[in-house]
Amino acid sequence: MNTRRVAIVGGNRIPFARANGPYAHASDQDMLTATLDGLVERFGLEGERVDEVVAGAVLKHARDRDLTREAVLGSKLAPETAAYDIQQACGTGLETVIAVANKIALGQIDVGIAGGVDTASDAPIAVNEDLRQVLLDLNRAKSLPSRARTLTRLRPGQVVPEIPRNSEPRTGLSMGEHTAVMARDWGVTREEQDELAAASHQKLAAAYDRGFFGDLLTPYLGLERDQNLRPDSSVEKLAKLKPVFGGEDGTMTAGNSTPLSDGASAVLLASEAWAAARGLPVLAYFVDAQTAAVDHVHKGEGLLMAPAYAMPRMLGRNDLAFDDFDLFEIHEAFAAQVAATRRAWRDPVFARERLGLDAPLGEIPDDRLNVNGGSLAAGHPFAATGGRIVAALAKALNEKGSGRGVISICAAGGQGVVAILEK
Amino acid sequence: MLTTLRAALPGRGSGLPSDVLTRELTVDADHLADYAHLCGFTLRDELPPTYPHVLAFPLHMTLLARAPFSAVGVVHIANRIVQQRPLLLGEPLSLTARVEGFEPHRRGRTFDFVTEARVRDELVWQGFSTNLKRGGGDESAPKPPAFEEPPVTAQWRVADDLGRRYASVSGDHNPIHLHALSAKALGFPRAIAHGMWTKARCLASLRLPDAFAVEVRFKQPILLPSKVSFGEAEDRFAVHGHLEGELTPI
Repeated sequence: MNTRRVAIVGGNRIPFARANGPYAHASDQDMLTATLDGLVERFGLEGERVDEVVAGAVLKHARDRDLTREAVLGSKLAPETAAYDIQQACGTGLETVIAVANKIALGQIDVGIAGGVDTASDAPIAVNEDLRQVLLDLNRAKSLPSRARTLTRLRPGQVVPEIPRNSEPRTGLSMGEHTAVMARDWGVTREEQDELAAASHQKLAAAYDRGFFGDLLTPYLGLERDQNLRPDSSVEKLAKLKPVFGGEDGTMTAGNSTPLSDGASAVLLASEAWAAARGLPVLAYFVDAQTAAVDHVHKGEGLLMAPAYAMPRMLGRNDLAFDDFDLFEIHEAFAAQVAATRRAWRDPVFARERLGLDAPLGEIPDDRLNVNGGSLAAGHPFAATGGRIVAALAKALNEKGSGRGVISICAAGGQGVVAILEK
Repeated sequence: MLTTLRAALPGRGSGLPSDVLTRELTVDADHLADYAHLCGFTLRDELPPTYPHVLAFPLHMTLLARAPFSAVGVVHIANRIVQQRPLLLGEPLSLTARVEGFEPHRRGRTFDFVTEARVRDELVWQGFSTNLKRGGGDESAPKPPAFEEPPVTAQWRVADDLGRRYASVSGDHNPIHLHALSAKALGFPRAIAHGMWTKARCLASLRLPDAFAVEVRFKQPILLPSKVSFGEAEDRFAVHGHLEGELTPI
């Protein structure tokens, strides 16, 4: 089958805020709409019908059933723009890019917008499960006596609502606790994590200082830079923080773990012909992607280790090695996740026993990793991270003029998604 | 900040205050969020076109208190907004408000609160809120223009507590909006929705250009709670029986 090259034309995001910060009263729909409108303005799409907008959110209210379509209707895009939601935990943002890219490659659409949004501030709080069952039974009850009987099941304790938790349904462990196990298994040190965190802040600050985000970002509600960014972050300062996961002798702190965040991102993808017809640039091309999952429930696999499996499958299919890549974007859910994954990729035993490879993938040079900062500094509104990374990597490749970049994102549920961009 | 400029405006012997009140401010994002969500607007850096009216409301109340008549029985009957471009969160706003009138009306006399919003010296937004003071009507006064209600495009459920919620956001705590009992005492069968909420809800439903004039006339009040019918056509919109509106891009 003939496929077409998929151009990444540009991106937009709002600065990421810490939870309960400046975006505390903004809904997912508000942030996604504002982000879409920033993209619309940047690329002159006002009133235009884009073939498809695909976005998602990890924490989602019941009322946001068709969040993306509703955001499109509130945006400056033509109301005739079709849209749908997808969701794969923190892989959501990158999955939306893959969904749009694949349809462009197949010739089903010419242009699409991929995006993601999350708010940890305006989180969906559900009715207590017992109360929900009583209310549903009440609705089903046909006669007055059966309604009265149902009402007798109401209890004061049912006013306590259900609050979403950042924990794995099948293990009950939080993501941080899972990652602490990975850190211990792979012997990841505190110093290594703090170095990665400090570098993330310093690189993000430097990227802002040289104006890198000028055409990737639209200010929102008074925020012009990512709120979590600390340009003066250092290993010395980070070393003073107390561990929050892994017990008293744990290595993971609030400084080397991503904070709960609010934000949104969007990426404009198109066929080369569409971009050329509008005189729009091609920052980079979307080449390939791969997902993988591990059994963190029964087989003792690290919850966030799935990218370690996805990467060799994708590289093998494309006949590429780490040496072929100029830039690496590994989502910094936790510094320990990045460190453990890098160790897995250079470990001959892991390569042989888990990946079935003769040799490990190899080292990722520090100076090619997350060169414009990562999630530790920018923050991590779950579904918005993929779009942030794709747009920033495409722009970085465009600045270089040519080259290849790879993206790796870990997700809850023992999943991971990786992708290749090139210029 | 509330200051009074003794004005250059001629009082025209109406007895209406000739003061020009001013207020300098930047918008509070949390308040904006409450307002936007209550009226159905997306929370963005562009301010809803009806929002400056809320910001100027304290000035209107001060002016009304200086009027030579009781505020009881003053009815908001029309509102016109002219926006040259969207105002932005974070811009320093200078608001001025003054009263113009009287004009004859079939059921009394009308006066306008004329509000202007400037960013530095740029006049960005104007509001003209027309109020009727009942009594001494003039049958020869012009009738409102003919209006054909556009077909219904949406139905809105307007909640029982809307008046209280909009009062807390807008500062307009007129008892006719707050509770059925207080509304009854003032001659309404139930509490009624604020006219400017209804206008805001309409504008939140429309796809607005950046620069436009939008005029609405308030008809029968919306009793709370209710289900009302909204309709929009090319250049006009309506909440059937309650509001007639015209939108003109500029």
